Amino acid sequence: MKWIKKYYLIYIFLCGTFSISHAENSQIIKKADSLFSIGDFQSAAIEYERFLYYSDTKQSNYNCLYKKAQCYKLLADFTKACRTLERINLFRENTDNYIEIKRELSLCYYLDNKLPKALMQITQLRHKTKSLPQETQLVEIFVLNEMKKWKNAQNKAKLYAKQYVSEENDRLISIKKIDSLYSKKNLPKLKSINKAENLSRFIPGAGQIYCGKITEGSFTFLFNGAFLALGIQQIFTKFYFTGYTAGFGVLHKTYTGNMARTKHLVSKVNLVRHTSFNESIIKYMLSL
Amino acid sequence: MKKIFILSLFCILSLNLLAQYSTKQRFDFIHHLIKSNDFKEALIELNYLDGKTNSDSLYYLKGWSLYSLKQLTNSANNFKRVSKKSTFYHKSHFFAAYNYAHTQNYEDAKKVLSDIQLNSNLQQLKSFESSGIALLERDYELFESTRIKSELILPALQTEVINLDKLYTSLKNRKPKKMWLAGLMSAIIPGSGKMYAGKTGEGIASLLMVGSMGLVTWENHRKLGIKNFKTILFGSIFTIFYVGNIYGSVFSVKISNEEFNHEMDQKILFNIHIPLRNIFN
Repeated sequence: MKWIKKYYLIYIFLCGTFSISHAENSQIIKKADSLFSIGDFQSAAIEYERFLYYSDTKQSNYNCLYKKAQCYKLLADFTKACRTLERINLFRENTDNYIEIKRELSLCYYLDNKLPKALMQITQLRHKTKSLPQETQLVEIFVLNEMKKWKNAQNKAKLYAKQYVSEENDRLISIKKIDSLYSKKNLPKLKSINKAENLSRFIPGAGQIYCGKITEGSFTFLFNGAFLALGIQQIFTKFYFTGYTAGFGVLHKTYTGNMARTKHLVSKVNLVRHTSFNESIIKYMLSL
Repeated sequence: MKKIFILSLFCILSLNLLAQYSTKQRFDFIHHLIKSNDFKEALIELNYLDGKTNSDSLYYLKGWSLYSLKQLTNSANNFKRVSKKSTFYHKSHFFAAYNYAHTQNYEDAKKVLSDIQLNSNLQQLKSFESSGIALLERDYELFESTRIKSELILPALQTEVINLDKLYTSLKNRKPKKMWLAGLMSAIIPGSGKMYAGKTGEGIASLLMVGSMGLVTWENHRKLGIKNFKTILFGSIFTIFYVGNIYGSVFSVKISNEEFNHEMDQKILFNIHIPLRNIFN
């Protein structure tokens, strides 16, 4: 009788411990979800990680890692969001989950400015499903735009419009609008660094004019011209040292400085034009 | 009656367990976060435990997370609090000393090192770290007295001891360059002060610049006279270049000395850091 009692107590305690640990885990997930809902994403991410640490169920791991990645995404820590999503074992997940993970991964990689990786996720997703999720299609267009693959981006954008604009008239209008956005006239006219440098090499200031900075280019031309003239004039009046130093010496400095300035200007102009073009596309595509 | 008592005790215990995680569980989780390089998250968890426990693990893990996040002063302050009973005692105190040394708080670094209670195996490491700090302070006498002279050097220290000796030789053999001498040299031959500071290219460029401006002024003075506008203009420019070059030479010596010292400090810190990672990791 004494032994029976002992076994009975041990059984109760083991059952109790098991049920407690189970209840604890469900409490963590509730806590994490409530922290997420009140916007404390950092603490929520920790709670999700705690749940993952103590749990061993496969299905919940997906949910938890997905939510943890959402926390980091909302904290704008896209690198950590990608790292968290990469932890999900895709082989164990069903097709729906697979699509969801790849959709998020492509978006996070795009936001993290890792364009080839974002494109790779989309390619992998395409192997799994015939039609990409709506959001991923947009990400693909934006990634292609960033990578300056205009033609490809235009085709994808038109396909997107055909798929998601329901009204026949609206669809035609949006396709026309996309064509006009990607028309040769509208595409960002990116400047060639080599061309700008060569122009500045032969005519100082021409590189700036090529980049659209007419006033700056004109002043540069005048400055360089003035020092060249000063050098020549001084040598003709037999002021050899003055001509060489004050004329050609200063000309050398302004000339080489002008070349470096042209290079910097081309990069700056290209960036502004590229960004403004991409922004116009993003704005329009999101309005569809 | 007895059964009721046991059951109620069990219920109270269960409720208590439900309410919170044990400290050990939290530490396990923090270890996991640190292993996954989530130091920021580990620190949040550790801050939660602050005041709730005075465990050595708390200070050690805090110190390690802060060290990994490059917050070296805070890290050292936490490492220092790890008590002798802890298995992490030696690692924590050696890293505290290193962190203080890295933040140029040499007094605290030396104090932490001298307070460490050691077994014979780590005595060499202590001497090595002390000699490194002495070298950072440029205290050559202390370096000589603390440096490892024995031929039986721990394998983890052998390369670094040789490196530290080499650094000591280059520091001792280098005569610091004098600012006034650089200024004087540049006043006599423009640019020579910069060459003396070790910036030969800059020196030649200055010589050409000041020299050519001098020649222009001389040419205008010879042909147009001292009162002519061009002579005054080029003469003024030459004076500005000449004085500016002297000033620049004085500062280039200062910069050169600072660059040399900074480079040496980085090399010393690197060499005293490597054995810590090798021995304690």
